[in-house]
Amino acid sequence: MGFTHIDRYAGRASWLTAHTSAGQRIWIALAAAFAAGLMPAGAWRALAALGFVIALGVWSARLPVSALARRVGQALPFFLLPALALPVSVPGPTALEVGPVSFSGPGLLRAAEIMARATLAVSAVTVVVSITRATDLLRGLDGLPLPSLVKSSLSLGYRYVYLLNDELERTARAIRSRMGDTTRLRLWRARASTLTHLLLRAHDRGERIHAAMLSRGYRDQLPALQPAALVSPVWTLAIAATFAVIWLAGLMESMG
Amino acid sequence: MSCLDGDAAWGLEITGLAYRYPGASAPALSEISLTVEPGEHVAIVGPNGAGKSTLLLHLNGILEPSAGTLNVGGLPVRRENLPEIRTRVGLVFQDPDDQLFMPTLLEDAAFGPLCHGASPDEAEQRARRALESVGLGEVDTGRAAHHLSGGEKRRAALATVLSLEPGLLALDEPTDSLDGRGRRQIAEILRARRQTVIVVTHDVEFAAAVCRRLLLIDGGRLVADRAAADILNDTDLLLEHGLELARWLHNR
Repeated sequence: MGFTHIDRYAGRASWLTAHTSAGQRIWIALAAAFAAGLMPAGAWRALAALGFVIALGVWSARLPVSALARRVGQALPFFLLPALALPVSVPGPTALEVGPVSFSGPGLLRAAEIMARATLAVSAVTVVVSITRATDLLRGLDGLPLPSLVKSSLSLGYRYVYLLNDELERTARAIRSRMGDTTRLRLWRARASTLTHLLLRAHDRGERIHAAMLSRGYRDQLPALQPAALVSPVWTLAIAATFAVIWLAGLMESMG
Repeated sequence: MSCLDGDAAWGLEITGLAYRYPGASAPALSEISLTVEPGEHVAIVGPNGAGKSTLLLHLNGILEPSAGTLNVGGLPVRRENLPEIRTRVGLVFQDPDDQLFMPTLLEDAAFGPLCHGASPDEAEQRARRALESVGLGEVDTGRAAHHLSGGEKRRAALATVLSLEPGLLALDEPTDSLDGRGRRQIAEILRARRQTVIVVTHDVEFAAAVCRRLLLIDGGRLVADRAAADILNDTDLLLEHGLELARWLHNR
């Protein structure tokens, strides 16, 4: 376990682990992500308050800042592209000129805001996955109003992503051993082609897994051995309410 | 309601079984007829592509025959009987990673009983008993399958069906990519079973170590049904059907 490739569980005890169940932590992460994502534009003070609450979670989990930064750094490129378009597309007085391209002040501010929101949302999720075993998170999904097919897919996905990863590593080693000295670009092209083959093989494996499930009596739903732990929802509701209040404060702040 | 009813030994009767994969020009199985007595240990041997695994998939109705009939403990393998048939026949697939699909070892072993209506408590007891019987009682059952060694995965895959206490245990290449110790462990586990055991393998020596009777399949047809020692000594028969013994590597 630990900060491996896929499983982000860091085995850390936290105030949250003592007072909430895995399923409740999923709700908390969702509430934080929604509060950050739906925060009205220009509500900087509310965003700062949200950041403070999430920072408390990071501190409580004793999550190393470097580990958090790495995780956030991996997710931010997905938000960077739309954020980068704003300084050139949002009208307003020019704040910065780089060669022929001019960046508007309001656009830069909006871009910074998007990055801040994304950082907060990813941080909240990182805290939850760092203090909760992936298997507990999967069990916690039972409390969410999701179709059983989605839950089954996530459960199987968690199990088999390791296998795919192992196969990818093995084939990458085989490629490296045959290519000798090569450029990184050629290596990545070879890896991409390998990945395609692996995905095709994954389809075959899917059929075999389905046969194995049927032969043991599977009937469209993965059965749960242990019901989700019963934990009073008081703290979960309190934290979710805090996020809701901060979001409302942000709404009022943006309306002036 | 649970339909799990203990560990009886079920016999198997196959009559005129034939199967053709959709779109295939030739049948994978033709005119297979055989009987396995309750509690008997039988190995099905044959070269790659002989139809061994295809035959195995018929035992609990994963594949439906194009012609012929199968009975397990007198119950015909038909669509309406499949829930009952699947508690009677425990099928262990060739690749344990196909068999271990749940997030943890314990959940995997409990999957079958839960699907057949056992309560979570009963399913957990059965799962722990099954893991114990394959020597995994001391392993952390909260572990995920990707943290197990190759040999442990094989035994865990076996436990996932033993928890159903099936009367007929069918295994597809159970020693594939195992080292000597792993093969011995699987052989010991199988020899100790009171149920009917059917092992599909191209490892003739392993088959003879576990079973007294061997069925040789090639080209989708049953070509020999004899005592294991008899087939093991019939060099011409083995060579004719692409089966070679490890000791021949030194002698030939």
